[in-house]
Amino acid sequence: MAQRKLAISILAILLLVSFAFAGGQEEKEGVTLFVALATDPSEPDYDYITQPFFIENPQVKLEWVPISVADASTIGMDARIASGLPVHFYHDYMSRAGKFAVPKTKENQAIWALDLSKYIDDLDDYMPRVLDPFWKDGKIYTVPNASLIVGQLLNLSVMDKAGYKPPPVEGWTLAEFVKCAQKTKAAQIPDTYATLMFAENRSGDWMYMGWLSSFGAQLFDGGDYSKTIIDSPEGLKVFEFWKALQNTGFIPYDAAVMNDDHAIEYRNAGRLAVMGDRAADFNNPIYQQSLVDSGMIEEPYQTAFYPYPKGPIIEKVPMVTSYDLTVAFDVGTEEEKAAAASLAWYFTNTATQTYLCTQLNKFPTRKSVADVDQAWWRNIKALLVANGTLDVGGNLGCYDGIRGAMFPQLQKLFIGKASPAEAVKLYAEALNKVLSEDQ
Amino acid sequence: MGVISLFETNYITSEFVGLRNYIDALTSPDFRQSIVNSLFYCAFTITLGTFVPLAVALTAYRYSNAYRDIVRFAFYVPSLASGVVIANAWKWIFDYRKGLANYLLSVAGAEPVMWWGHQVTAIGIISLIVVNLWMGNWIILYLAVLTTVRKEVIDSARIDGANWRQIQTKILIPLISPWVLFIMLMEIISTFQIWENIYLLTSGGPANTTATVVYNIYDTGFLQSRYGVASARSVILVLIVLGLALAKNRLEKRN
Repeated sequence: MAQRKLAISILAILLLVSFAFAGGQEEKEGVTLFVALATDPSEPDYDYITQPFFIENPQVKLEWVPISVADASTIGMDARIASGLPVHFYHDYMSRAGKFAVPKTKENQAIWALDLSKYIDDLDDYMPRVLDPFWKDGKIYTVPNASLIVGQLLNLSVMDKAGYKPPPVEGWTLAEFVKCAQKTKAAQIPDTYATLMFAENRSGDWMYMGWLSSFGAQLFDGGDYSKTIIDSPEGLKVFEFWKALQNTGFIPYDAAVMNDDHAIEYRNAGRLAVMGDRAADFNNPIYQQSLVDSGMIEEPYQTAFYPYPKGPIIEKVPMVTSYDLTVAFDVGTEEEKAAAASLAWYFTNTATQTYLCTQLNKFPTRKSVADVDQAWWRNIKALLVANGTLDVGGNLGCYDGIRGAMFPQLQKLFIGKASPAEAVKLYAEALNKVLSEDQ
Repeated sequence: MGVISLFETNYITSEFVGLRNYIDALTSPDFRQSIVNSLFYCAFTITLGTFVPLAVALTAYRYSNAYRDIVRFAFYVPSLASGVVIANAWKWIFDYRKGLANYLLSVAGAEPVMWWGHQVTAIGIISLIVVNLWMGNWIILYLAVLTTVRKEVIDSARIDGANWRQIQTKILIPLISPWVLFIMLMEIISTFQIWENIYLLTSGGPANTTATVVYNIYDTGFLQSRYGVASARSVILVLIVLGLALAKNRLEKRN
C-alpha cells in the first residue's frame, strides 16, 4: 500500500510539473517562428541574419529546426509536415527546398508557400533573368540566395609531384587535362588519381554536370523544360569520355560503388590532381589547416580554380551554379506570415549576400551587392563573364529528380551494363520521365 | 498506407489516382527487379540461414552440453553487435582498393574483384551478413528442438545398427523437419525486409541490382518523394508477407 501511495505521489508531482511548464510556455508573448534549416543553426554565422532581423522584429522568437539531409532527400521536411509539426520557414539546397515552393491549389492539401511578391518590395534588385523561372502567374514562392560556382579545383601540389604544370586558365583544354592525368598516373603517387567520379548515390550533380560544358552538351534547349536534349552527339561524347576515364585508370575503377563521402575524403586528403568542386570550398586556408590538425594531410596544398576544360572546337565552357532557396510558408496568423516573409528577405537581402560573398566565397544574385575586392573573386567573376552558366534546371521543383536520374545510368556505365550510347539514352528517358511528371 | 496508396502525393500536393499506383508498381521495371532481387537473396539466405545452422546444431547435438553451450555462445555473439558496425567492417573487408579480400587475392596473384559492383557478389555478401546475425538464434532453436527427441529413439536406432549419419538423416531431420520449414519461411519473410545493410553498403546499386522490395519502397517514397507509389508497393509487400505468414501458421498447426 505504501509503495502504491509513493507511486501515485510521484506521478502527481510529475503531472504538476508538466502542467506548470506547459502553462509557462503559453504565457509567452509574441510570435514564434519554426525555422527549418539543413545546416547547423548553432553556427554563429547566422548572427549576421538574425541580429538585424530581431531589431526590426523584436516580438519574434526563432525556433531552429535542424533538418537531416544525410541521404540528400527531403524526408526530414516531409516527415515534419506529415506529422503536423509546425514549420514557418525553410532554407536549403535548391534540390530540396524547390519542392516546397508551391502555391495553394486543389491538389495541395499539406502546406503551401507564401507569395513573397506581396512582402518583398525590392525583387527588381535581382540580376536579370535570375527570378524569371520562379514567377508563377505573377506570384513568387521562393527566392534564391547567393550562389556557388562549380568548376575544377586543381591541386597544384599533386601536379607538381606528377611533374605537370598547368597552363593559364584560357589554355585549360581536354588535351591538357589528359596530359595531366597521364602524368599523374605515371607518377604512381600512392592512392592518388587524376580525378574522381562516383555513382553510388544521387549526389554529385555539382561535379559531373560540368563535364557537359567541356563537350558542348546541354540538358535543355533554351529554357524549354518539357524535354531534354542530352541524347545528342555531344551528350554521347560526354558518356564516352567518362567511360574512358575509368578504362584508363584516371578515376578509380570502382567509381560505380563510390559515393560523395569518398569524393570529399579524396579531395580533402589531397589525393586528386583535379576535382570538380565549388569555388567556395577551395579558397579557405582555415579549412585546410583543420585538415592538417586532424592529421589528414601533412601540409596545406596549393590550389587553383579553373572552369572545366575546353573540348575540341569548344570556345566557352558554361559553369554550373547552385544555390540555396528560401521558402516562407502560408501558415499561422497574419503576423506569423509577415514575420516569415521578413525572415525570407533577411536571409537573401543585400547585406546577407554581401556577407556570404566576402566571407564564404559565394556569388550574388542581387545587383546591389558590390564586387568583393579580392583577387580570387575577381578571377571567378571573369570566368563567369567569359563562359556564362549552364542551365541544369536548378530552378525547377523537380531538380532533385533531374539529378537523381543520372546516377543509375552512371552505375550501369561503370559496371559495363550499358554502353555510353545506351547510358545516354537511358539518362534522357529517365530525365524526360521526371520532366513529364512535373508538368 | 492503404489510403495514401490511392493518391499521387509528395506530401505537398496530392491527387486521387485510384488504382494507378498499383498498376505502376506491377508494371515498374525497378519494382519487379526488386522482387527478383529478393528471391535471389532468398536463394542465399535459405541455403545459408537454414541448412548451415542445421548442420552445426546436428553436429553439436552429438557432443556434451558444455560443447553445445560453446557453440551457442560463439554463434550468438554476432547478433549482439551493432548492425552498423558489422556492416562497416564487411564494407572494408570487401572494399575494391583497400579491402582485406582483395589484398588476399593480390597475395595469391589474382586480379582484384569489385565485390560491391556485381549483383552476385554483393547479394552474396549481404546475405552472409544477415544470415550471420540470425544464425545463433536458429542454432539455439534447432538444439532446443533436438533435445526434445527422446533418447530412447536414438538408442533403439543404434541397437538396430544405425550409424550417426543414418540417425541424422533418417530420424532427427525428419522429426524436426517442420521446424526446418518454419525457419525457411522466417528467412524468406526477413529477406524481403532487408534494408539497413543495403542502405549502408550498396544503396541498392549497382543499377538497382541489390535493392530488396523494402529498399525499393524506401527509395521510391523517401528519396524520390513518391509516397503514393511507395504506399501501393508497401501494400503489395504486406500481402506477400501475409501469405507467407499464413503458410507459416499452417505449418505450425501441423507441428
